[in-house]
Amino acid sequence: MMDRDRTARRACVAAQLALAAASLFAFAAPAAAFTTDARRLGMGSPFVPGGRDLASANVAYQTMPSRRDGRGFVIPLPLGLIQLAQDFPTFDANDPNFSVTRIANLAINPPFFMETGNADPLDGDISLTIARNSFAIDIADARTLLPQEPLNVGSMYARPLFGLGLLGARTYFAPVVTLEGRIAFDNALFGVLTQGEALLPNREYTMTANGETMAGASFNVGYSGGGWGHPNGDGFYLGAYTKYIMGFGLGKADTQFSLATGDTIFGDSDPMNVGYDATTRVSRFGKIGNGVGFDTGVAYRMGGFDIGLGLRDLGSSVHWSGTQVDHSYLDDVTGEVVTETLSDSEPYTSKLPQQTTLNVAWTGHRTLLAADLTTNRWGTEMHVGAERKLGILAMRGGMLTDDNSKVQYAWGAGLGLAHVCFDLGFQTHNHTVTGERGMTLGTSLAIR
Amino acid sequence: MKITRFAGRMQCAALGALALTALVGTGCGKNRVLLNVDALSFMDASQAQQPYSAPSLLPFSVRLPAVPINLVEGFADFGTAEAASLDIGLLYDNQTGQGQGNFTVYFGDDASTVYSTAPVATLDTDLQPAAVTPGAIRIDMDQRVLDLFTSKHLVMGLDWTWNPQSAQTMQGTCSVSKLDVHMVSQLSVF
Repeated sequence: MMDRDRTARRACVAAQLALAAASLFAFAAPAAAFTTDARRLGMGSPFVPGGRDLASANVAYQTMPSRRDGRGFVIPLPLGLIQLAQDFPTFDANDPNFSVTRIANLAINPPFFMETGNADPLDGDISLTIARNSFAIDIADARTLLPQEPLNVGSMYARPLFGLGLLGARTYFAPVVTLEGRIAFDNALFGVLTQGEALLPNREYTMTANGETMAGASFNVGYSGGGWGHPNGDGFYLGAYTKYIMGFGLGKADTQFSLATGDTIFGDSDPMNVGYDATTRVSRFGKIGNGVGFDTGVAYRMGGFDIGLGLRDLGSSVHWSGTQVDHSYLDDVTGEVVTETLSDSEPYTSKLPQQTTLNVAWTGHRTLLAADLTTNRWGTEMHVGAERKLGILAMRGGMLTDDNSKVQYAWGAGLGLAHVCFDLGFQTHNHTVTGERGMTLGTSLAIR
Repeated sequence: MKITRFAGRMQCAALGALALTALVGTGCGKNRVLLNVDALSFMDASQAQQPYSAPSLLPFSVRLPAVPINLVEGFADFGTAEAASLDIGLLYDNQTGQGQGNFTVYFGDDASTVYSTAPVATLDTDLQPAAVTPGAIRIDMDQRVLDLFTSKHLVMGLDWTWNPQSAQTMQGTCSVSKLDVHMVSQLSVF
């Protein structure tokens, strides 16, 4: 009897930790596509010549003149915050309106822009089927929640914040935040969790979850220039920057959760054996990591045509001279999670994801067409969009493939008066805990 | 070395509910949890098939040793059991004689007292010579039994009685084909 008590406790501990890992994974997924510009949102988020986002992805664009309708400064209008203020979710679990899924969706989709529609409340039935040698769990909602293929997701934020330039030589400062996660189920466990297949005797079921996050800042110095005096900016541009990366914090975890069944699942002996093994690595506050990296890019403009290829974070890495490494596991005898510190000064080098961006655009008198392809170790995204001006109005549309290779759609409109534009854009997404399609409404003001 | 102890709710968590809460994220507290227990699977195969031979007009009874049923631990912590039912399926292969077969099911928390508790279900079946007769019934179970199925361990008692009603010896075999418990709970993890 004691064995089963311990087993249940182990199962509980391991599952809670698995939840934490899964949460990290879920939170990491959507950040890559975040934009505050409703114009880009309504075009399917392609890079548009003259935008700050493009100058970050391809440093050759840092000195290329902006297009006639290029945005100098974008002021997002966070309607989502107003929406949130009007209908703030309750955190009281006893409140009938309490919804974990709504809170989770808010975390995944920061309420900056307005979300239209209501997410699935995840209120499907859960069936447990118990027999002496079989245990099946059929979770209706899990079929859409859990991926069968190992899933790598991540995001990185590294946009120039401020800088100085003189005769093509420039320097700028940028915050650097990376977050990535990976989760994988073996086929047996995936079948149990999503297909209602029974746990069978003498089997092992495994889930692994890994995550790493880093925060810091980069000081970039280099050269970008081109065109060489051509009046409308036509010509070849190039940029090359080296950067010193200062890391302020690092966290990394590699976990494995396993469940091994005995001869009899619900017998008097041979209980299920739950295993949990994790290695975590952190850099304590005050210990600074140091690293270098390299960004480069080329771009070409001819009339209304722009094309560019940017490589960001070539060989970028941060060396942490003394990280603390802990090993945690479930003790078979006591049923407790034991944590051992293996080292408090182990060096570690984290590698920033190299990103390649290929963009192409054509800017006509009334029409703008733009497309890009962005790839890094987390996957490839493609964005295609168009804008057509009708007097002071601009109509927009586009599509994109997101970080899960799903096709999303976008449309929007803009109203331009003098040097001020009001932009509005809709874009579909699947950034919900249930994976169902949602739609974002974004609004922003821009100074031309 | 430091040892981290996990306590509180986690101490009695049920494996199934854990998988649920961990991987579905507990939903919004409006999920139903349907617990299906195949009580028959906890019996030995020989217990599920009872040969009988009842002399004319003399009742013949068989009482099984209490059958232990182990369930998930801490199920009650994750929800409120609202309703439960028991499906019984029998198959009498009566070779000779005529009469009635009575099948009685008990559930309790202790093997020594299970047969002194109130029977949960009784199924009476009229039997004819040289006939295969099925018997089936669905019973809604009361709060006492509902509580038993939210615990991690209970015992089941089974009684058979055959009452011959003819001059011929009543002889045959009774097979238990189904002993399924269905319980509906409202998930409440907070």
